[in-house]
Amino acid sequence: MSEEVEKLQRMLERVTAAEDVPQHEPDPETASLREAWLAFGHLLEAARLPAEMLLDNWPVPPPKRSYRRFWPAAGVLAASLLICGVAMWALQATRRIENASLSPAQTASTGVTHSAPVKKTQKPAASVNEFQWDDSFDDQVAQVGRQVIDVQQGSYAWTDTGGAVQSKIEQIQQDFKDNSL
Amino acid sequence: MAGMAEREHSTAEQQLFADWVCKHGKAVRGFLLAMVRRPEVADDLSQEVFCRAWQARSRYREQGNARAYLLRIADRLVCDRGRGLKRYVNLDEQGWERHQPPDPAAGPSANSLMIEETSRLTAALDRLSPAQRRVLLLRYFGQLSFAEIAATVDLPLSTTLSHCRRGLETLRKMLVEKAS
Repeated sequence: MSEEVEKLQRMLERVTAAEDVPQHEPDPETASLREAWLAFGHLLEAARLPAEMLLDNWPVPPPKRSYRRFWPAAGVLAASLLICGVAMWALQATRRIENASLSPAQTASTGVTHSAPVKKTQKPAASVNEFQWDDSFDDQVAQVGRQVIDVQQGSYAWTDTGGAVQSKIEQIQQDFKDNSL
Repeated sequence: MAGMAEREHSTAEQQLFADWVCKHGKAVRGFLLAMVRRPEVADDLSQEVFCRAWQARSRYREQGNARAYLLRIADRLVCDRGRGLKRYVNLDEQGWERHQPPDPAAGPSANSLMIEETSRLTAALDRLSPAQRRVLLLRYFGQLSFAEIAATVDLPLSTTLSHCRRGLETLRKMLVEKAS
């Protein structure tokens, strides 16, 4: 920095020093510049006074929202949703397997008719099991029917046999009465 | 523990910001008002200065001088505004009076005095070149050193000093010699 610039800077620093600093300037030019500076300051102060009330009503803006906790929270939420989804899926799969593996005997003994709707998207194996169950049940019904018929036939046979014996006995009794023996 | 420390830090920052508004709000607004000479624009820009200062407060910590930091933001905003709004026009005396109506609570003599001083200020600011105005206003409101002012206005120190001197001479002619 040249000497002139330094000198000018020192002079201007004195001229433009804060208003409340008392100064005595031997140099008339510096003194007049100082006077101009002070007059300028008074005008600036007078001009901005009416707006000071606005300044007092300024709301302090809220601090910028911190996103430091956002991503961990979002991660926890996403993980929770994923776990819930997997759990729901596993539960549904278990139920499907349980439904598919119900034995025909159990179903027959309970007498429950499987009227529950079976989705068309079910595996073919499930459909085969369903048909097998139906055939078995029909077979059992048919078997029971056949047994009933056999019993009835046996009863009739027994009745016929009994009838023949009875008639013989009655004939013998009649012969005794007639003394034809 | 970490949450508590963060909360305390946030409270301390809010306190710092409130201090900024209290201590430097008037100076920032005064600087802006003298630069743009439109009270409502000065108010908007003042709020913008504090918002920007808050958003970039980490940079302030490196610099240290709050008022200088705020006035640099204010000066940049005024320059951006001047570049962006070509239709922007400074108020003349009548316009200033229309935007700064006399206070009905004050007496007629006080009002007339205020109007007169405002007119003188407007005339003085109009006589200064934009560079002189920036240098003198940064010096007055920020009490920045001339080296800091030179860095803010992006000019060599000698040029900055020259602007200051010429500006002061203009003011002397306008405010001292005319009055005498």
